[in-house]
Amino acid sequence: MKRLDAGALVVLSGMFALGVGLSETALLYVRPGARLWLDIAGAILIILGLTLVVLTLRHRATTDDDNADADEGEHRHHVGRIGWLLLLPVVIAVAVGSNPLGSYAAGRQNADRTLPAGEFDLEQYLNAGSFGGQAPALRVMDFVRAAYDSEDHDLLADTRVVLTGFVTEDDDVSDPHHFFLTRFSIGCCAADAIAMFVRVELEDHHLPPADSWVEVEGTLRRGPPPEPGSVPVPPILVASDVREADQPNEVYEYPP
Amino acid sequence: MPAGERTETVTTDDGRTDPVDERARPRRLGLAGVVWAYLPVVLLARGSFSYIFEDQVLRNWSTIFISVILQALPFLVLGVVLSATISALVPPSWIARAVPKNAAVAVPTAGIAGALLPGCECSSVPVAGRLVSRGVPVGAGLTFLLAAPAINPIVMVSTAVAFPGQPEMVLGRFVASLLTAVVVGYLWTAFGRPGWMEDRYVDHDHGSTLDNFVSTATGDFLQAGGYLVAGAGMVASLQTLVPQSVFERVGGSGAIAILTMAGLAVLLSVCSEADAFVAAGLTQFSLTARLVFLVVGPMVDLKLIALQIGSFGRGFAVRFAPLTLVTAIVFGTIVGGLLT
Repeated sequence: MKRLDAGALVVLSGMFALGVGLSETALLYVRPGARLWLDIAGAILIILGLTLVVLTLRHRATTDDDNADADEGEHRHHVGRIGWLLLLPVVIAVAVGSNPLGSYAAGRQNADRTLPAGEFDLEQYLNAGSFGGQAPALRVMDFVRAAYDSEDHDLLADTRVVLTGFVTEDDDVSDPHHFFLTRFSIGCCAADAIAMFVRVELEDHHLPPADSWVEVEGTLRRGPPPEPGSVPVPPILVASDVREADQPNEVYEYPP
Repeated sequence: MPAGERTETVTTDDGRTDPVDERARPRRLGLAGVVWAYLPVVLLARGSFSYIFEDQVLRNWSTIFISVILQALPFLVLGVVLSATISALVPPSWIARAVPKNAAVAVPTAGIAGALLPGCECSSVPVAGRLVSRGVPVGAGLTFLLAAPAINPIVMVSTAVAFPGQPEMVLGRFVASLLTAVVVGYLWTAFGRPGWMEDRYVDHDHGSTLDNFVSTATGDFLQAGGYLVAGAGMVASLQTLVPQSVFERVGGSGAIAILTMAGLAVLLSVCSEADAFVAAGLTQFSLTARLVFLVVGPMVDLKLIALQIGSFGRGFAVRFAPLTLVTAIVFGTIVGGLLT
């Protein structure tokens, strides 16, 4: 690979990292905390690539014109063609666009997975916040955790709450009055995403379309919490209201 | 891509052959020129392309593909900057003095030193490659390569967070990973042949320190980055096409569960800082099987195998990856059995 091509590829990779890191697009791929590192890495790459280009051009200018090409031959970068693959993520990001993980990815996972670890105290949360007479909003992660918790379960079943997530349709279509409100939790990036499901029971609402974002107000249906060690089924939220919602900026939830 | 120094011979009318300097002919655009000329067209036509690619499968693939690359990129940059610093600023004589010659001492030292590099697997590959190329014993370099992503403080903390109230998982992960890294280092020292490993870490000598640093850093970045993209493509394809539920339905605690979790670690290629959260959720598997997942993941996975091919050649990767996989499964199982 020629040094100028190498420099241009490195600058392009840096611009991609910096461009994504500075925009909200980054949140479709990585945790919010990773954005800063993406910015720094992008800036370093841009500086390295530009320096390589400047050094190469300066070298060329100080070398006799007749020998310029021959000299560049010696000066080739010791990189195979493999480096050109770095164009691929840029081209694919542009061609396919930036999309969050959706119901397709959720359908590839088991619904019967336990949650990423973490602490949540429902009583403290309800007492600490002022919700202005509205039903308190919970993260899907916290709702599921409280529903499985033997102490929080009863309190949750007595409280009307609001959850935000996207719609995954159930494969089992025999009962048309439910869907799965879904949210992903990511530890590092979208490749380690874990889907979290809440089964929403509708009384007289129409089923919202798959992958649309909804805000559901409702109450947990009381049931025995799962035995420790058994694989839990998604908790059931009896919906009193289902509203269309915008896709949130922080499209995933994050364990601590 | 025309190479400047090459000359060709052409046959003239009367049958003699004359050497012709390629420079005398009009410049050809070359593959690189075509790529650069076409790129703006692709980038400016964005709207029309996303209209064509509405397919859910492709969108899912691209999200995972790009997220693996973006997540790894800062660590890769850290790795190549460290590697270039070693190359441009640290003289080989210094390394020769600082690192013990005796592999019996150097290997465990490298294992512990791995705990100091707070990165994931993408930083450790270029750094280990550079160290070996600068005269660190091969076994020690490989132990560092395996230990750094597995036992650094960030990984230990995230494991503790993912398994609250189960400090034995943190201890087990540390002990089993360090043992695996050290044993693989010793095995390679004892049985490895020099011909199995290519040294792709060229030292640049362009006169100035700045030029050497920049040439090394950009060269290493392009080399490792290209393989990272290839690895990310494989990870995205597997995650998109093979449902995880195929693996997860196995469950249980026997040998099959352990092998399934080891296979899952290789195929999913989750970053070592996040794999504990994935393992914590797979409660249908025994703790031992999940420990094997945590030990194998940072040492053998698709993305990492691609990076290793890029750094040390294919002949290296086809021997090193299976050796590490088997060793990691053995120590993960033994340590898991002792702790639970």
